[in-house]
Amino acid sequence: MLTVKDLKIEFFDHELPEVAVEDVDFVLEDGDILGIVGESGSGKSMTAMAIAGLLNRKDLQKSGNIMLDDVDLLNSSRATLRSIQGKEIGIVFQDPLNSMNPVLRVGYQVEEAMRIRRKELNLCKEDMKKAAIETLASVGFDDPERIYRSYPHELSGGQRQRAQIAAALIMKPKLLICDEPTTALDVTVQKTIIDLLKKLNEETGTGILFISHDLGVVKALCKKVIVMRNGLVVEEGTVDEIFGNPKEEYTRQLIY
Amino acid sequence: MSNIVCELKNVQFTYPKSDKGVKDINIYVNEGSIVGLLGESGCGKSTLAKCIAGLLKVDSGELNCQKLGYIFQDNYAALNPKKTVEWLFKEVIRYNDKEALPKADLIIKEMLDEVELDETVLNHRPNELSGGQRQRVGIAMALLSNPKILIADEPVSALDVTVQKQVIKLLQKLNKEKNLAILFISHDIKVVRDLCGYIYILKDGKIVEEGDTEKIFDRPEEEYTRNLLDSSFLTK
Ligand SMILES: Nc1ncnc2c1ncn2[C@@H]1O[C@H](COP(=O)(O)OP(=O)(O)OP(=O)(O)O)[C@@H](O)[C@H]1O
Ligand SMILES: Nc1ncnc2c1ncn2[C@@H]1O[C@H](COP(=O)(O)OP(=O)(O)OP(=O)(O)O)[C@@H](O)[C@H]1O
Ligand SMILES: [Mg+2]
Ligand SMILES: [Mg+2]
Repeated sequence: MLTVKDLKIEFFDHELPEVAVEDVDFVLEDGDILGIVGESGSGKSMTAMAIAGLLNRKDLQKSGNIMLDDVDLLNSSRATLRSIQGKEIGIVFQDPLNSMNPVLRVGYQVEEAMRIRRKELNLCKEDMKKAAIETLASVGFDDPERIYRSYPHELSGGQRQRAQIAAALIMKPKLLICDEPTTALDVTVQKTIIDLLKKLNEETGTGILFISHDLGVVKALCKKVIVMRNGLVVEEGTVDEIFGNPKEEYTRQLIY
Repeated sequence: MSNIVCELKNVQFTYPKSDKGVKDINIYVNEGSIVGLLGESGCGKSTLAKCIAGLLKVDSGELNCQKLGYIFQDNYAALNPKKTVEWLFKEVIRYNDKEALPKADLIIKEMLDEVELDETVLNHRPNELSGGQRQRVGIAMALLSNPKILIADEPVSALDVTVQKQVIKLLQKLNKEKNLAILFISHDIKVVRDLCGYIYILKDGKIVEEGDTEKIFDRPEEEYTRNLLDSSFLTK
C-alpha cells in the first residue's frame, strides 16, 4: 500500500547542508500497523511529513520515492496532494497546538476532512456535526459538545491531542500517520486511543504509521517496527523480533 | 521544619465564561523537595501551573512563591520562532542577571552539556528542531534563570527513553546540588514514582487525594487514583 524508497531529506537553510533523513526504505502493507521508533532528532517526523506531502519548502531538498498505491506522494502536484490529504491520509502531528488553527473552533477543524467531500457525499451541516461529535466521543471525551464549541487554546494539551486524532479519523482514511499521538495522555486515555486505532485497523483495514518514543505503546499496538538513528533505518522486524531479540546495540538501549 | 518555597491557600480560578478551572487548592512545596501533581487529561494541571507562575490571575486565595522557572507543556508556543536558540538563551541570562552576560557563552555551553544538546542547535530557530530537541531547549531556558522552584509541566513526555533518563537524572542532580524544588506534572507514573517524594492527585480541578509517593502507589484511597496508576495494559 505504502512504499518508501531511498528517501533523502536535506536542509539548506544554514551554511552547511544538513541531512535529516537518508536511505530510508520500507513498505507498509495493506492493513498493517508499522511503528517507527528512534532517538530524538533521528528523522522520524521528517519521514512522516514527507509521506504526508507536507515538505514543500524551499529550504530543503528531498529525493527518492513515496508511493501510496499508485500515486507518487513525493513528486505530485499540490492539487493532487490536497485531494489525497484528509481523504486518504489522516495525520496527527507531533505539535498539536501548532498544527491547529487558533481562530477556528475545534469542531470545525474536526469536520475538515468531511467538508472536503461534502458535496460528493451529499452531507448537510447536521450530518457533519453529528459525525464530529461521535468521533470526539470515541477519543475519550465525555463532553464532546463543549469540545466541539471550543477554540484550541481552550483545550488542555491532552484534549488537543485527542481532538487532532478525531480530525484525522473522521473519514476513516486509508492511511493514518500518527506522530507521537499519545505523549500528553494519561494511561486510561492512552488505552482508549490504542483500542480505537486497533478497531479502526481491524474493521476498515486502515494502515497505520505510528511514531512514538513510548515503546510500551508501540508494543501494544504495532505489528512491525523500524528503528531509526541519525536519519537512517538501522533495524526492522516484527514487534516480537525487535522486542524479543534486538540485533542492534542501539535498539537494545531504547528497549531497556 | 524546612522552608516552604511555594504555597497555595484556598486558591480558586475559573476561566471566563466557563465552569472549568481549579478550586479549593491547598498545596505547598518544601525547599529542595520534589512534589508530583497527577491527574487525568483535562483535570486542571496546566491551569494550576499557570496560576502558580502568575500567567493566570487567581480569583481568590493566597499564593506565595519564590523565584520560579517554568517548563511549558506546549513549549512550541512558548518559544519565539523568529529567534535563534542562542538569542533565546542570552535573553534569559540578560533578563535575570546582567552581570553574568560576559560569561554567557560559558554558561550556555555548560547548560547544553547538562541537557545533552549539541552546540549546533544554537544557531537554529525552534521550528528547525525536532520535538525532543525543542523540549530540551525549553528545559535549559527554565534552568538558566537559577530558580528556587521549577514548575515542570510534562517535561519529558516528548522524549525517548534514553533522553528521558538523562533529563530525570539532571533534575535529580539539580535537586540535590542546588536544592532546587520541583513541582513535577506528568502522566507518566513510572517517572513520577522514581522522582517524587510526595504526590497530589487532581480531579475536576480539585485535590482529591495526597500523600507520600509510597502511600499513593501502595494504598491509594480513591478509585480514581487506582485507575490513574493502572498501566497494566502496557506491560502484559
Ligand atoms: N529547518 C531545519 N533546518 C535544519 N535542520 C532541521 C530543520 N528541521 C529539522 N531539522 C533537523 O532534522 C533532524 C530530524 O528531525 P525530526 O523532527 O525528524 O526528528 P524526530 O526523530 O522526529 O525527533 P523527536 O523524537 O525529537 O521528535 C533533527 O536533527 C533536526 O534538528
Ligand atoms: N482558556 C480556556 N477557556 C476555557 N476553558 C479552558 C481554557 N483552557 C483550558 N480550559 C479547560 O480547563 C480544563 C483544564 O485544562 P488544563 O489544561 O489545566 O488540563 P490538564 O490537566 O493540564 O490536562 P492535560 O493532561 O491534557 O494537559 C480543561 O477541561 C480545558 O478544556
Ligand atoms: Mg518528531
Ligand atoms: Mg496540561
